[in-house]
Amino acid sequence: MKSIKLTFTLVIGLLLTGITSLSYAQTSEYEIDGKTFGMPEAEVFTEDYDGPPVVGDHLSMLPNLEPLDYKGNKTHEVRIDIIAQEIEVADGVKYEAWTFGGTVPGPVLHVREGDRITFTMKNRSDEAVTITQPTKEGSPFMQQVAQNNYMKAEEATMPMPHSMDFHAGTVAKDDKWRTIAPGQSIKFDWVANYAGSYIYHCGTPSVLMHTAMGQHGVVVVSPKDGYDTGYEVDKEYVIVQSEYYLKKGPGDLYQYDYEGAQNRNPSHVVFNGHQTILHDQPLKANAGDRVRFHVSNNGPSGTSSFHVIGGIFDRVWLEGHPFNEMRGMQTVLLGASSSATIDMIVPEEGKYILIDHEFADAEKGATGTLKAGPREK
Amino acid sequence: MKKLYLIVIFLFMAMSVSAQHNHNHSADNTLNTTEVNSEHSLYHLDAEWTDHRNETISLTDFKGAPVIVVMFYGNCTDVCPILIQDAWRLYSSVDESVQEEINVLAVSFDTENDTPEVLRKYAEYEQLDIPGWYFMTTDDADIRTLAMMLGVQYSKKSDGHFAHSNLVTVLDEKGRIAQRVEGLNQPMDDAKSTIESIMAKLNK
Amino acid sequence: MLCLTNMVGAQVLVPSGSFHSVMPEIKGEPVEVESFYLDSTAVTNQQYNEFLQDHENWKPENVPSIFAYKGYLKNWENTNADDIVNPNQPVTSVSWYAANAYCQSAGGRLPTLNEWEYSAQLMDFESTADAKEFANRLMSWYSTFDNENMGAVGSTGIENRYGVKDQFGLIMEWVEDFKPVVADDLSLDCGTVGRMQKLGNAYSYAASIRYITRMSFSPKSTNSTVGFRCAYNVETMENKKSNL
Repeated sequence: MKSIKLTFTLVIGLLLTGITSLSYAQTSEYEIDGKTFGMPEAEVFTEDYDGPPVVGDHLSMLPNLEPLDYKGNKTHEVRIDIIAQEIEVADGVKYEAWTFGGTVPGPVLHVREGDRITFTMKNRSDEAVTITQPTKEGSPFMQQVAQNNYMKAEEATMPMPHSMDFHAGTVAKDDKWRTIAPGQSIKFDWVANYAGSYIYHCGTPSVLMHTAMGQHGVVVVSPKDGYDTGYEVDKEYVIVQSEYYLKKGPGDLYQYDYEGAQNRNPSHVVFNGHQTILHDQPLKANAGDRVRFHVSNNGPSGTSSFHVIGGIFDRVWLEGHPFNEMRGMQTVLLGASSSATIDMIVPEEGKYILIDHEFADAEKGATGTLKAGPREK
Repeated sequence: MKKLYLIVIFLFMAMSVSAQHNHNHSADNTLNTTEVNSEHSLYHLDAEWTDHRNETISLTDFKGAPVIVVMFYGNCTDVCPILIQDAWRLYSSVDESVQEEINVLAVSFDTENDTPEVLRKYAEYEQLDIPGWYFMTTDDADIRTLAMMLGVQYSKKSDGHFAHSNLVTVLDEKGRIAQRVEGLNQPMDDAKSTIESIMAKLNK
Repeated sequence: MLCLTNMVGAQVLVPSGSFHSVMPEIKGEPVEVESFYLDSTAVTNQQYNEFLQDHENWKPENVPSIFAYKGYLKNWENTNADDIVNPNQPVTSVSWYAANAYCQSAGGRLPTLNEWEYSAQLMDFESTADAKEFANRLMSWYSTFDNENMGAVGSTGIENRYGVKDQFGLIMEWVEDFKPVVADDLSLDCGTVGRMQKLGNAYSYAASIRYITRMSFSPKSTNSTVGFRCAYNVETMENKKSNL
């Protein structure tokens, strides 16, 4: 009898020891309030990668949001490479942009609160990379760009150091948001601890210049328990406002206007990277629809007084967090890097104008159209 | 019975403590070292060095066994002696039989002051004018190239002193970077194991 | 080898002096630079090809990968002596190690960061308005680059008062210590540019972009916009001249 008890205790003891040492031997991750912190150190390396610059199942082109077709949390494998591209931002205005993934703003990443993202990024600014070849690998983003190349993106090279700063990630900036030289790659994990729409942008100085040159985008982190509204949303769109500081260059292309940037005097203020895109390709809905907008003001320097002409915002979650619910707002003030998730009931058939009600911005292009058809139900 | 419980609990605690990952964040050091490639041999650097014995040597002379490399300068009175001491600590921690095979290269970035003669005096002062230890110099461009390959940063200041990173590197028998120990007074256990395992592999 | 009578390849004396650096050793104090000789133009494709004929170990197919990334001389079709495309354009896509080896073979070295920056700011302008306009052009130039139409050396029309050409407007250039240790204190955060520049001075703003870009390189980097020129110690040049 005694020897069995002895053996049993020994076995349990050793098992416990084994399990504990295993859990301690992992990274120094820890949890507070259900949020995960203490990510492992980033890896900086060189790789021979020359595949699609945007890889991942939940990456899409603005204004699309890729649906979360899974329950609970998962780990996303995401790649967004940095490339230079010649793009059109307004009729007749083309310049060589610094981009994430080839468009300005970059691809929209959609994840759920609590998801982990294993992120890889190669600085391919010294490589001519084309984004308009549709590819089976890659992401929905790449397919959507190939079908709808509204920025008329063409390959370009402009080797510069760059970095990534995901506002949705909570990590040490000197490790994960490190600057990498052309040809280098960085890889790290981060966890989307909080719900909301978060800007991502290049953090290499001059950040004003890198962001103004096009390196910014949005991650939409959907709350794990939704927004608790009691209704279904009919349409969901992502809108990003940003500024360009461009002046005519010696040839056909435009160039960075340093003085304009210093003086907060943009040449263009746009939605989704292009002055007329949301008029050329209006958003669609029907009367009676509940439309959800994920709106982000990526700056680099301006504020946005976001309003939809003809509508009132039924519910607004500031920064997209379910806790920050406001009701019945006419205009939402968004500072640089601020966002909001906005639900609006489309009143009747007709045209609605999305606008930055700071008219100096609107007249530089910060407007778009929502075309509403008749009530369906 | 009680004794057994105590043993188990002790085991449990000992394992959890030892398995804790010692996370040395490179961000803590003010003078960082830079990213290096450990797949290729530093012996591609084809330069002629003069050591403190006034002999001409080449890096390929040290092929075939691990090498400890440290960069310093003679007039450095506060930090470099510690760095040299660290290299000595690593050198003397390995078995005597291993010590006989390995070499230590102490390279000065102060070409103006640290001539072979000055290096000899330095070696004697540090009591390191011993077989296997080489205090060496060459021209600026080659010293800078070695530093680039090792990931050592250094910069001459207007007062003649140098701001520099602190690094002890272990090269394997082919001259590839096998271990780097950044900072001063750092534990050398990992570096010691690396040297010993390279030697063990070679002696098979 | 060096041919002092040839325009491309001529070296000029940059006399000693001091300047206000955006990254001074001691804040507020000018940086002193001693006299040195500097190539009046960046090293060209032609010159670099001659170097490769004498140093086959630096040809792309032979160079060990510890000395350069894969993009080394990526825009060169071949390394035949007679068949160089764009012979008078500055050579680019060369790593620091390659540039360093070239300058060593030419009896010189890479200029130090302070030497290069000192020489670059020794320009004369007709008026402060001209100087300001030049600085603004610099910012635009750092934002965009016409790889297809890179000019030949000497073509920018930008020259310092001693005849050193194209330190702006053509390529970024390697220097001996492109990652100055004093830069370690800068955590390269968004405030970096503000701390480096003198208020409202577009030249120092552009300089900070240049420093930050240059500091991010690895010695193996082979960027298509980075080339180099060589510097020479005064004694070496005087000896050479007296031996002619």
